[in-house]
Order: sequence, then C-alpha cells, then structure tokens
Amino acid sequence: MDLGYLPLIAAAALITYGTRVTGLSLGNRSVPASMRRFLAYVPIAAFAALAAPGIGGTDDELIPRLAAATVAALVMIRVRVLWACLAVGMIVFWLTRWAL
Amino acid sequence: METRLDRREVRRGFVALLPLWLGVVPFAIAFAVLARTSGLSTFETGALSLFVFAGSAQLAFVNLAKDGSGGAAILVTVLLLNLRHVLYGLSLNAHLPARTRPPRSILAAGMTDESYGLTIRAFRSGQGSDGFFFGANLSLLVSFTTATLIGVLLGSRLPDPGRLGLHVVFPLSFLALLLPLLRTRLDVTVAIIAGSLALSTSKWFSGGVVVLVATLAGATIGTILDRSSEQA
Repeated sequence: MDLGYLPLIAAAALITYGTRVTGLSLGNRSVPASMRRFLAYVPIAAFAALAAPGIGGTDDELIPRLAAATVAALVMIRVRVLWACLAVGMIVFWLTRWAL
Repeated sequence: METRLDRREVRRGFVALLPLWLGVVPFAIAFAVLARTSGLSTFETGALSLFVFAGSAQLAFVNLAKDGSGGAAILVTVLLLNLRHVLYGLSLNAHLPARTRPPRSILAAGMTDESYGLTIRAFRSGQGSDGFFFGANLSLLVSFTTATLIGVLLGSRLPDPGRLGLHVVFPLSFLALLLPLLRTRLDVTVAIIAGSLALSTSKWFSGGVVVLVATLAGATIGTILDRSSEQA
C-alpha cells in the first residue's frame, strides 16, 4: 500500500508540535542571547530563500513575476493585508502576462 | 481550588482573531489549490492543515515536495521554519499561570504567529489569559481548516490551476510573510543575503538544499553581524 506523503506529514506534524510544546513547557528559563538572535533571523532568511527563486529564478515569465512581486511588496508595506497583497500581485501578474 | 476553562475568555480570544480571517481564508484556499496542483491528495492537503497547522511550513512542504526534495530536507526546513515557536512559548510562559486551562499540551497544539501575537498583546495590556490564547488558537484553526476544505473543493473544479499562474502565489506569499519582519537594516541585509544565495544556487541544487543552506547562512551571518554591531 502506498501511503504517499502521509508518513512525511505525520513527521512534520510531530516536529511542529515539538517546537510548540518545548518553549511552553520550559517555564521561565532563559535562552542564550546568541541563540535568540539566530532564531530571530531564521524566518527572515527562510522566507527570503523561499521567495527569491520563485520570483527571479527562471527567465520564463520573468517580467510578469517581477512586476507582481514589486506591486505586491508595495501593497504589503502600505496596507499589511495578505489577501490584498496576493490579490493585487496576481492581478498585476495576469495583466502583465496578457499585455506582453 | 479547581480552575475551569473560562468560556468568556475563550470567546474573547476567538473574536479578537476574527479580522485576521480575511487574510487566513484566501491563504488557506490558495494553499489547498497549490497543494493539489503539486500532486498532494485531498486527504493529504487536509491533514497538513489540521495536524501541521503552520502556513509557512506547509507551503515549504508542498513547494519542496513538488521539486522532488528528499524527506530529510523537508523535515529540517519544517523544523527551522517552526523553531520560532520555542521562543513564543518561552515568552508566553512569563505570563501564563503555572497550571493552565486547557493544559499546556493542548494550548501548544494551536500556537501560531497570529494567535501568539494577539495573546502577547493582550497580556501586555493586562487583558490576556490562557482561555484567551486558547480561543485565538481555535479561531485560526477553524478558519484555516475550513478554508483549506473550500480550496480543495473549488480547486478540483478549476480546469488547470497551473495555467492560471497560481504558482506565483508561493513566492508572493513568502514575500508577504517576509516584509513585516524587516524592521532593521540588518534584517534587510540578512534577507538580501539569503535571497541572493537561494537565487544563485537554485539553478543547480534542489529546493530543499537551497532553502536549508540559505537559511543557515543568512541566520548565522545575521547573528554574527548583530553581535559585532553591538560591540562596536
């Protein structure tokens, strides 16, 4: 029987729960300052690494993707609303792709 | 004295998170559509939202799986993306009572950026509680899993999601998650380093290796620069 991604999903769920329950169970113990700094930069570095190749990684539809990312970034900075950012970004992507 | 789950506090937390449903619902719908597009089954997509329940890690999971990354790379990325929860837990612990209702093991299951953010804000203004945190967690879980289900149902009716260009939602989502985190010049430096590294290596290596290396490199350089700027 092929379980597909289910074993990997179960492992991801356990790992995620582990990160959630660990800090909450540690009481008021303090984390070393350097570790705290490192962890603060993890989401920043990871999100940048996950976003960059999808925006500029290939030459296929590069201009629509750059246009969408630029406008979506402006929307996110100004309104801080994810759905507006994604909606406007996709509209710009479609319009640019259609126009070119 | 037996302390009980305070339903009024749960309701307060649930309602406090309602405005964020506007962001959560399309995010979860887009996630569901993209998960299906990437080859995950309906059940697998639902299981990710219900049991992993971490938007960015789920997007990474699907993105890396689609690229054919190995299980180890996916799980390490999930771990790195979720490590911040340890700090959320530590910071909430400074406010939570020794014995919480519901217990910490249940509170932990629903912890997210959003519910943590609202709860710590409530605590700082003297209005937080374990029940409030539980309600905020519940509010996100209900909206997120329901919207995932909607996305799965709607997605199967779309003729070809790939041709709609929905793959662009991935990088746009991470861009949207990234921008509010950029508060200092060093934050921007770390993002540029990690982004450039990922961009330049993505042509030769699979997604998992790229994200892993860029994350470790970016966060390490950030930590070093942070320390040296403090000493200067």
